[in-house]
This record gives sequence, structure tokens and C-alpha cells, in this order.
Amino acid sequence: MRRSSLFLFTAALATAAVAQAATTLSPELKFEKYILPNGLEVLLSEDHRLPLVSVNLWYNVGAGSEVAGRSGFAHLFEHIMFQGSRNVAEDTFFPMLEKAGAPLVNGTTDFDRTNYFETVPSNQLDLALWLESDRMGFLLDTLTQERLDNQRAVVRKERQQSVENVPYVPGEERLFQLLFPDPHPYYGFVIGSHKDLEAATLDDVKGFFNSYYLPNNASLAIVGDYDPATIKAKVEKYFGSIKAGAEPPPVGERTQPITAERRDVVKDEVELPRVYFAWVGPRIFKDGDAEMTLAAQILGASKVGRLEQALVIQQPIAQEVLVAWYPQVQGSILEVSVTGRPGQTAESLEAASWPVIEAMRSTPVTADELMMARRTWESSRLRGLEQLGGFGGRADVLNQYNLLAGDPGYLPKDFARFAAVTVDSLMKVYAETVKKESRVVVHVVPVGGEK
Amino acid sequence: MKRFLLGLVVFGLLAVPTAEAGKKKPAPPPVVAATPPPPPPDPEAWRATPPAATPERPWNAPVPDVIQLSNGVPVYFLKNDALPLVTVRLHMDLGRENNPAGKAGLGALVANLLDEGTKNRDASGIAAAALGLGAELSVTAGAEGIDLSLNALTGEALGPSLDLLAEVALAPAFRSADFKRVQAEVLADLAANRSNPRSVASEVMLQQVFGPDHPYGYPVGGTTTSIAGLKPGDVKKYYKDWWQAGSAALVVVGAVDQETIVRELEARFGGWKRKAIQEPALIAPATLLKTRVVFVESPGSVQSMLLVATPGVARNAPDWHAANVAGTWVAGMFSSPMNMVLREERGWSYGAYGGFTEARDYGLFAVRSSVQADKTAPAVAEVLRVLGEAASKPPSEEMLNLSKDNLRKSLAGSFDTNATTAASLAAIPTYTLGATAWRDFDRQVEVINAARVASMAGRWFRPERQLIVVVGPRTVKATDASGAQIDVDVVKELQALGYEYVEVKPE
Repeated sequence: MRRSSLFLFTAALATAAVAQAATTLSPELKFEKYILPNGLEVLLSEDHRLPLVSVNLWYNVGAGSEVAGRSGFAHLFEHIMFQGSRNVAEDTFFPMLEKAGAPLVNGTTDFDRTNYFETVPSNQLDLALWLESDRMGFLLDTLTQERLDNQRAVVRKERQQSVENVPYVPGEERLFQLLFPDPHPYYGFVIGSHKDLEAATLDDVKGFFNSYYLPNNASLAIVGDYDPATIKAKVEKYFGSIKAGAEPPPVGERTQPITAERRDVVKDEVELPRVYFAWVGPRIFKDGDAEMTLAAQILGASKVGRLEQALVIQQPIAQEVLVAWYPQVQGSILEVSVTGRPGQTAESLEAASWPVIEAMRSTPVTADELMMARRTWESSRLRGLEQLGGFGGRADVLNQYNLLAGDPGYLPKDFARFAAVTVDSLMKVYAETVKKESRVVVHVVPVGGEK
Repeated sequence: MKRFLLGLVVFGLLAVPTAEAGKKKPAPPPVVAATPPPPPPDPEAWRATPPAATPERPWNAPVPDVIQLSNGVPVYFLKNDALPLVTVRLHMDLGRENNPAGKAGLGALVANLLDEGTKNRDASGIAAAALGLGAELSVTAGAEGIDLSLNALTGEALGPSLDLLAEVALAPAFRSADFKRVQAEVLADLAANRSNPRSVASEVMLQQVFGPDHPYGYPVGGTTTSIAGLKPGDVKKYYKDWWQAGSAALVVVGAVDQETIVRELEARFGGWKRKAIQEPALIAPATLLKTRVVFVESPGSVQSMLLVATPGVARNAPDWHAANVAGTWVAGMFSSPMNMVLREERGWSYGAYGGFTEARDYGLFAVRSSVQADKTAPAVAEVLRVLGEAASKPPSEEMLNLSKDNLRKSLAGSFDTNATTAASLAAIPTYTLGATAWRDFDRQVEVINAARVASMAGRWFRPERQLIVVVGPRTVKATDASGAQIDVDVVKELQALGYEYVEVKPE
């Protein structure tokens, strides 16, 4: 048991009159970083409390690198990564890990990255490294047209199941289209369109693999119960011989500021109307990102946020309020969604929510609101770090910091930038981002009429 | 930032590959080539063999210390110093049997209202206090109890966080305005559930297995009728009748020392009174004597939801581990025959999974799958065939070990955070297990042999004793083998299976 050696931890008491117990947190996660000759960045962090180890591989490519006419391709490609490689037979990836007793296996595609991760019993670490290295190095050997067609059909079916047939999601997709008009790679959802998925060819798959699925475009985090005496030799054995490739092309600058309001109405099979608002704002880990993270919390925190207070608690006209900040490389998104109670219309919801959103441009947030928002961010970041793998777990956070903040040891700096947010800085960024003329509005209206 | 995570998860789930076996073209015949020249030695040839596992590191789940407060409330305590965090969970042994007849969902509504207002604070005041302390406070009503969970920072914030937990648990206000607001929210959620085939299937299954006079015949959250009929007085009476120290247990996991936390809990919960209560009597559900198909129409659906269930075994029964291995074997894993047949061989479904549910009194064995609507009746027949085969033939050595390993090895994943560890430990009071239950789990599963599994399978998986709920369309258009458009009469095909057939309309 080396529990206390996992984190270095300092806590200082702040004297702010508003806080009941305003401990300023500043955790530091212990890790080691080194780079293989082929460019693969490796992050190691030991934890022997459980007989488990998480292997987490981030590729520095997502839907944000897609070219015009190939929306959804990064995600389709991620599916193909699970279908077998030179030494991993078709449809054996999941069963092999299940046999090994892995409690967590997944892969996900976002606009700015694609990740693959598995938590396995520590005596099965070799299996996880073998599976990941085989598809990093030798995916194309067994790729066939049939395999591509198969996964294309699966993804299209999933688009129907998880986008088209889910209440409100078509409206949200429209919102994401209006925020980043075609041919911006952020246009719509990561999953893409049927037309573009249909158009994807075997050459596209090969080209994408050769451009982006390279050891020098990836970050491998291994966190948990590994043997420190043998871990580097294992990483070398499985990943060392994979050839580096040419540096991938940069994503470039394609985001245009929104200068005039954009809006649309989407009819959907829903019982209750909903209004969406959204803005494009400061980029992930750049100036203003922390301010907007906290602003979203101040607007939308359950039962406390300004919109919740006004629309759910005081005059209950809304069934649900959600405010989210999606930090992204080519432009982050502030999204507000307000779902009405029976009797409301999308128009009445917009009329009731907009003044609350707008008021925060001029009425300063209180020190209490700022403290609560910051404390929420800090404690949830900290709680995430309890896990080895999974979203917000240690392996995930190390890779995120390494690839998107350029520093795997960014954790204390992350806490510091949130600690540095002031009422003034938050107000300034919010007023610059949340303007009437730069907003995107989508009404989701019940097909059967509003009740 | 709930939405952010959801967005990731949505596409994460999309990443799970589907074999689509039904759509696969047959492999072309092998081409016999002339003898090729010998290839140069391949430096990567060693990769062809999957690596073997290294020796397993022995690990057993932890045993909590059990301490009693002065009023007898047990505290299950486990220290974890990794981060300055602690989880405190208050488990109340209150289930559906505590709801008076006709008031299904009352306990869940009480739980829902606890953090909506106390003597000193309103709903926003409670939420704001938690946020200011960096704490998360949640209340959930489940099949076997009501659980309040506090995830708090240690140090200065701990005392005020515990105050908040105690205030919500012991001094709720149940104001009429909050009652009305929350009742309306719950009714809107129940209305939304009507378009969710999974909820509809579960609700119908409970009705059919337990019947309308049994408290387990209703979902934990109640029904539109039962919730609409509740009054603020019902909530207050429930709290007065049932909310007492004798039904409580506390679980603590985190970076606190035992003496300190027990003192802090004694100060807040030690004065809570025990009260003599009459435990509500529960009757066992009737054994299903013959298989019945219950159809619920969902017009226009392209998929049908199948739920095949039978009354099962209690979590603390001697047979539990053997039954759990049997359930894992037949339907608990990707490689289980249920999923392999419906997803891989037939290609009718994205997945088919099931198993025994953990329950204090009357558990269930249930299998769920969403299947292509035109294959509804064939899929029901396949589910029953798979169950029947398992009931009549013991598992292979390989499948037996795979099922046992799956249960044994994934256990560590339930102890990775303070919150998941506390949830695992809460099973001890919930199902009246011993404090060493999780430590012993590994050995108890290890000793299960094929004969034990076969006897469980023979008892629970008999195809002539299953309840089958189908939520789907009456008819659906499909394409036959020759590519022609046909109309599939789902109802007629279900009736033709030869079992008792009934149709119900959920409220």
C-alpha cells in the first residue's frame, strides 16, 4: 500500500469571507514521461492499491481533421480499429479482453482526439499492449472492403438509433450545424452524415491511417498496478518497432466569427418544446476557457444556477435546464437548453430565458456564485482522479494535458488558472462571448403541436 | 458539465463494434495458388501469438470495520488516504413494501423531497451549501432502499458537509409548494417513460410476475395514477411511520480516521431514535407454471423490445453464487450464448444480455434485447431455445471458467473510487450479508462446479416457465430472402409460437 505517494498535496486556507470552508486545492499527480525513438509519448503513473492497470492511448486526430465531404470519417475509422489487425482476428478484440476480466474497454471519437482505452487485471497488461500495438502498427494488413462496408452499415444504423430517433437530438444537431457551417469539420455531430459515410472509400481509410495513426501522433498512458522494473521494456517490445511517419498536417484556422444571429426551427416527435442557444467562445486551455467553464456553472447549476432559479424553481415554466461548456481546439461551445413544462412554447421559453442570460453580461456575478462554481470544478476534477481509467480518470487526464495543454504535469496549473478567475475577468469574457448578434438559436417544436 | 460527458459517452458507445453477422456475405472459396517462394524472415512474426497472462496477483476485496453508534446504527468503515476525499452513505432499509396499497412510488417521492427543503433551507439553499463546500449530495430510491450519498472534501469542509447530510436526512420540511413542484416533475418524467420501450417492458413484467396486489408489482418510482393521487400528508405520514434509526446503516470510505468520523457521526446521528415498527409482510410471487407471451403495441417501431423473465433467487440465499455464475454463463457476457446467437449468428440485435438481479427477497432472472421488428417471434424462439439448451446441458469447462473469471476478475473494478467502494459495501446491510462478503466472494465463486451451475440452469432456465414481454409493432414491412417487400404479421407469428398469449396496454 503506497497510498499517500500517489499525489503530492498542498492545501492552504483562504480567508474569503464568503466561503464556509474555502480550502484552495492544489493537487499534483505523480508521473513519468518519456518518448520512444519513433516519437510515441509515454506517460507512466504507478498505483498498486488494486490489481488493475489502465492502458489509454490518445491519437491526436478527431473529426476536426476531416476533409470536406467526409464528415463522420474519424468515428467510422475508430470502428474499424476494433475489427481486427494483422494478428488480431476479426471480432476477437472484445471477447479476448472479456476473457481477461477487463472491467472497462472502449474507444471514443471527439472533434479533437480519438482515444482507445482498457482497464485490465494487472497480469493481463501484455494483452492490452499487444492489442493496441497491433492495430497501431498493422491495421491495414487485414483491411477489406467487406469490413469497411460492414462498419459503415453499423455506423449508419447507429446514427438512426442515437441521433435521428432520439428526442431533441436532431434539433441539437441543427444547432451544431449553424455554429460551424459546412465545410467546417465541426459542422454537425462527430457521427457525420449518411451521404458522407456512404462516400468513404478503402483508400480514405488507408490514407487516414497513414497520415494520423502514427506513434509520433499519439500519447500512451499506463496507470495503475504495473511493475516499474519491467514496464519500459514491455512498452519497447510492443511499440518500439512501429515506424514513425511524416508529421501530420496541422488543422489550420477555419473558424469564422459569427456576426449576425442564426436561427432555425426543428419539428420533432417530442411531448414538450425546447429552445437551444449556443455561442462559439475561447478555445480549450486558452485565455477565457476557465472563465466560461465557471460562467456555464453559474447559469446552469442544478437548483442554484440563474436559469434554474428563474425557470425551474421560482416560476416553474421549465422542466429542465442544461448549460454546458464544451472546450475545443478550433472553438469551444457554450450551449444552453431549456425544455418547457406543458403549456409553454419554444417562443415563450426563449422570451423567458434570454433576459436571464443577457443580464449576466451587465450584472456582476457575486463572489459567492464564483466561489461555488470554482469549488464545483475543483472537487469534480479531484473526484475524477480517483479512477485509473475512464473519462476524467488519471490516464485520461494525463493524455488530455499532454496532447491538448502540451504538458502532462498541467494539473496544478489547471487549478491555478481556475483560482485566478476573478469577477472582473469572468464578466469581461462572458460579455465578449455571449452577445445577441453572435448567438445561434434553435427551437424544437412538437410535431403534434404544443400542448 | 453533465452534457459534456454525455456527448462523449454517446459516441463512446457508438464505438462498440457490431458484427452484423446477418449482413455478411459468405466468404469466397479459397484460391489454391502455386507454391510461393519462401518469404524473408519476418521480425514481427512473434506478434502472431497473443501474450500469455503473467501470474495473477492475489487480491481480495477489503473488509470494512463495523462500529455501532450509541443508538445501534452500524457504521461500515474503510480508510482510503489517496486523495483528501470521503464518501458517507446513509442507507435506509425501506423498499416498495413500505408503500401503502395504492400508493406505489410514495417512498421514492419522499426520497426525492428530502433535499428540496429542510427546516432551515430551501432547495436552492441546500444545493448552494453543497456547491460551496465542494460536496455532492444525492438521494436515490432503489428497489431495496433509499440511499443518501455525500461525496465531500476532508479537512475544514467535512464538518459542515456532514451537517448538511444530517439536516437533509433528519430535518426535511416537506413544504406543500415543493411537493407540488416535484410531483409535477415526476409526472412529466413518467409521461416521458411511456415512449421508452425498456421502461414499458419492465413495468409490464413486474405486473405480470407479482400481480397488482403485490408491492413489487409496481416500479420503484410508481405510476402516473399512483403519483397523481398522492398528497403532502402521505409524504409526512410515510416519514413519520418509517424513517427511524433502526432502519439505518452508514458507510464511510475515504481519507478520515475512524475515531474522528465515528465521533462526528455520533454527534449528528447518535441521538436519532429507534422506533418499534411492524415489518410489512411479503408474500412470495407465484411460480410461473407455463410460459406466457405478453404483447404491448408500440406502433411504427423498427425494433421490438424483448424481456424474458422468471422469479429468481435472493442475494443472500445459499444458491446465489451458483445462480449468478449460471446467469453470467448464459447471458451475462459478450461471449455468452444469448448474445452470440442473437447478435453474431443471427444478426437480429445489437446485443442480448441478462442475469439474476440482486435482491433482498425475491430476485428475478431476466434477459433483455432490442431486436429487428420483423424478427420478433423468431428472436423469442431463439431466446427460449438458448435457455432450454442451457437448462438441459451443463456448461463446457471453458464457458464455466470464463463465467467465473468474469465475475471474480471484474470485482476489483467495483472498489476503484470512494463512491463505488461505498456502494459495494452498502450491499452488506442492504442484503443482510456478513462484513466479509466481498473478501469471500472470490473463493465462493471459485468453488462453483459445472454440476452446481447445471442444477441452477435446470431450475431457472426452463423454456416452459418464462414470462415473455414484447414491446413492438403489430406488423412491419421487411425484405425477404429474394429481395421482395413483405408484410410481417408480428402478432400472428407470436401467437403461432404456441404459448399462452395476452395483450396489455400500460397506463
